[in-house]
Amino acid sequence: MMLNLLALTAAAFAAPEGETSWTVHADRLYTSTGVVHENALVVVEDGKITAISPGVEATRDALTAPVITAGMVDASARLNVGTRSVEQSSEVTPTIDARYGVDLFDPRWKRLAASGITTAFITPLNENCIGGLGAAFKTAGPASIDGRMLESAPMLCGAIGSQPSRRNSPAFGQPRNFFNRRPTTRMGVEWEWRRSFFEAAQAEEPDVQQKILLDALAGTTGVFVQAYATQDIRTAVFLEEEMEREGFGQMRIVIDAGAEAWREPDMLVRTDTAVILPPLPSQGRTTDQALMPLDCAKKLSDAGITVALSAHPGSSASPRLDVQAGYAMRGGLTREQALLAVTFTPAQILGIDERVGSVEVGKDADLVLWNGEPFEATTRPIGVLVGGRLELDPR
Amino acid sequence: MLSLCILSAASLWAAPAEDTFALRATQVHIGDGTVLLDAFVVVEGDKIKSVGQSAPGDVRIVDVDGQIAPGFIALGETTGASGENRESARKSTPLADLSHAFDPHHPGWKPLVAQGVTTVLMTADSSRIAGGLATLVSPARGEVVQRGVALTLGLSSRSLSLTEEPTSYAGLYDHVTSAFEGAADGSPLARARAGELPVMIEALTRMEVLRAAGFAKEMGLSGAIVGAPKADETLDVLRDAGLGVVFEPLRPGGSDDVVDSAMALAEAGVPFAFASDAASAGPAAIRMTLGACTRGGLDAKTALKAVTGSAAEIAGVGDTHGTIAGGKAADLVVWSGDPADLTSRVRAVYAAGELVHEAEERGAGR
Repeated sequence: MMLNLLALTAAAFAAPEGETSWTVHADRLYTSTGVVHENALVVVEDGKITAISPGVEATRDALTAPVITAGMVDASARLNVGTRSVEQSSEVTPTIDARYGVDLFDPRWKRLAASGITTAFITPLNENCIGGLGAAFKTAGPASIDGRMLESAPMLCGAIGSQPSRRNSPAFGQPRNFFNRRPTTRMGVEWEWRRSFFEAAQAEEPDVQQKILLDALAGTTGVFVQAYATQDIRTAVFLEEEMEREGFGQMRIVIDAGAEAWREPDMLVRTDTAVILPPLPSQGRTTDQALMPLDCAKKLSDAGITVALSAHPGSSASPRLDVQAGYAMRGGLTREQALLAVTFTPAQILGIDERVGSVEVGKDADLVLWNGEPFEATTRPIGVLVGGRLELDPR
Repeated sequence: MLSLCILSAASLWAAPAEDTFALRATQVHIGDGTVLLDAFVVVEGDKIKSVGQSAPGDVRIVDVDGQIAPGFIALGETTGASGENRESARKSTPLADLSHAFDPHHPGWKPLVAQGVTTVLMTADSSRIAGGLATLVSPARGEVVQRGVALTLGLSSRSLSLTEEPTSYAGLYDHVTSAFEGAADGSPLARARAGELPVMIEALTRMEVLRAAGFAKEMGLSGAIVGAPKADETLDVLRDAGLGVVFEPLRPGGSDDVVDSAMALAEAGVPFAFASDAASAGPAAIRMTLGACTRGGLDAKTALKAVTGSAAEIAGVGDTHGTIAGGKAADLVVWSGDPADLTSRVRAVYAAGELVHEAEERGAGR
């Protein structure tokens, strides 16, 4: 142990400013694996966690904090470049890739990182029925898409509800000569989804767009559907069940922003569908007038549904993810449950839990240092490591 | 004044002067960052024959009162082409030939020449994905010098609109990728991929630069990024892709951001030039840019190189233009002092060996 510690100390001393090797000590370490360590020392080398030693005192050079957790994962961060992330020339655009819909120089990345979110899943703006492929990014790191994107199974993203049908026009700006054919009702939105999958499944020579839809039918590509209201969650679940009945395949749907998922949890249990909750609305209702109570996460969790929290900006009282976890606790989740809902569970839903979402040897050194028990009203992140880079300095 | 009128009228139909002569000056700025002292520039017809400390004994020697520099090369100029460099019938028109957007008699040219500009690269409007083939023109002589020297690509938000496909960056890259991958042999896009035709890619944010440089590398394109704000922060990808940078013109009172970027690029060996955009920045845009550069701390020789030698290299015409060297076009400007000094004045301009502009003496003691 002593030898180990000496080695650690040396590594930390050798690390100059801007490096990715540190030793970090917490009075209490929540690992998001069901284990909580007291007096734990975490060793970070080259951006990875290389050792976790419980029951030891802090080394002189260690970064210290009362509590350390894994970096938070926001599965619905919505940090795209807005209107230019969605291709409006069609309402079904599976090839549109969110890697082109982000601006790594956007100052909001720094704010996300400083708030304790170390991984963010980004989709094209939810203004198309099937908007395109999402991608998970580290919130800090090198200024390159490859350096920031996490490898994962692809996720096809879209929306069901009033958003893709709000206007028979481009979603923004005044049409002059744009060829408008967007759906104007939920009926039209549902039709576009079903038509796309039916045509893909029955195509003799599927085109590049249909190949992505076929991957979604095969379950190798997940389907990430924004659906706030019950009627829209139904549409998504029924689509999955219809495709299975037709023998087209077994889709793997994730409900994003499922504010009303608590109303009819049985269909989500039946289809083993995970839910990402939107941030708690300040006036009780979210987009699409969906009612989201404080105990939403608790109800879903009790029903056995996989549930993650998200903090995308909107009409919420607070867009911070740690505050959302606090609300979920106020609604009845335990601290451990709330922690999982913002770390390991979203990572698992996105298929990136091999790298992020918990404090384990071999995983990315994404750590949040807190000044007290996480998610309490008076607790805030005092330090953040993203891939071993110190984005918020606790010293 | 009379002589000026004759000159400009003559330039419309007269063949280049056929005689050989030499200009002698105390300083000759080569345009590659070097200066020759007490040197001769020997001009034969429309070309430079030689530059050096001596001239053949039989040529007429003209002693100039001042310093000689290559004529400025104005990149991305739209004088007289308002609306004519933007073919909106299709999103990509790589074969559109900018020589047809050139108005040889436009009144905007003469003031540009009087500010030391001898060569202009006319480029397509950047709101097109592949806007067309840039053309090199001589504003003083009203001539197209070389057609199809570079391909203009718009990979910025300006190529996204609400009225036609694409509306998204992903759609833009889908479009341009399939256009390049499906390009027929010998087409501009195929020639750009083969390294035969340089590209000038507009990118107006750091993220757009990151993407455009990555795309250029993937497709094997050479050329430059036009715009590139805070290029010092995307230096690695620019160098990695082997691209130069064409900055927007500067104003002496403006921010030093671009100058800082230019200095970082100079240190890293990434070539850079400046657009002129006389239509909005005025005919003295390049001079003002030089002034802003030196005020911001960029070495005057490096600044001059940017608007002469480097500009020619970036436009793909470095073999024939941009520096004072044997065999290159005799595009020369006689300055009253250092060309990067805003107190200097243009005394005379030679385009393809022909005296096309001569300043009237002004004020006592000049």
